[in-house]
Amino acid sequence: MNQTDTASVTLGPDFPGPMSRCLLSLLVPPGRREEFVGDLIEEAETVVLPRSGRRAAKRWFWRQALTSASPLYARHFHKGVEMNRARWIAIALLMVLGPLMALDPNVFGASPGTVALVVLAILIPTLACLVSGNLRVYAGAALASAVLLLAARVSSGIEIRWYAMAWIFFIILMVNWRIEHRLQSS
Amino acid sequence: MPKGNSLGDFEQLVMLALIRIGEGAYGMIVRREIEDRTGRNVSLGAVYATLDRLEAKGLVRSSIGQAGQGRRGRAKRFFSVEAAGLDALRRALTALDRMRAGIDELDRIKEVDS
Repeated sequence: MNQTDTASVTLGPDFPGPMSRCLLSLLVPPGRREEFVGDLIEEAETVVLPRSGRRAAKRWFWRQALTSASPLYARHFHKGVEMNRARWIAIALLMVLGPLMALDPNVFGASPGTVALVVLAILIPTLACLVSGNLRVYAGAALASAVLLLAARVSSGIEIRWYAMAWIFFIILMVNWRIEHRLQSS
Repeated sequence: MPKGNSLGDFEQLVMLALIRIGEGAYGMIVRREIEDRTGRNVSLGAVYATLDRLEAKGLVRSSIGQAGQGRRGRAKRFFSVEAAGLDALRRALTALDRMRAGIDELDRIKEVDS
């Protein structure tokens, strides 16, 4: 420890600098990043710096940030999986029921226009589940899908049979996901 | 006991630290309390992840505070134990005590430590 180190009172007003902040945003998942980094700065500055000097305080800071990345990301992803369980079930369901629906003999033998309507009716909610976490988007996708199926039914007279159940499942799962989401964020 | 409210080893340490500190407990203080009392090298990330999990289980609650000095304008998040958390901790410690009771080898270790 040199003279400059022991004379240091803070790690500098700009600590952590722009590059360090960038690195921290990679190491620490969003959510409670600000509180976490605030705690690290505080401990490095008020506990480690007076005891061991500036260099050691910075080293301690980065060691903590690096060793924290794994538990923080593990928790972050676990939470994501918990929150989106219903969403993934809905996607899996649509992936299975969608092709079955498209291969239904009634659809298979229909005109290209009808087939296009059915394919869109499957794709829209599946994509909505994949790209969005918003219930309004899900509701809009389910509605669009129902309208497309109805249009296919009206235009070609094909039967809408068991696969109508898929949309009931879909809506139940989305409501379930929304409840989980509310519980998590409350 | 509800399955989701059983406490792991580190969760017990974090809850005990929160109770010891009382009001004004936040991540850094909890980490230091555990490190000072157990001698265990603990990362702040592990403390935060555990606090987050306990909060999701409804055993701990948190509130955001004012930005403190020496934190470059970053606020603190304060944690406190809920009644359900105290119950879960009491159950976990009682179970441990019951399992430990009457094991001579452990009693001898306890005597040497003290």
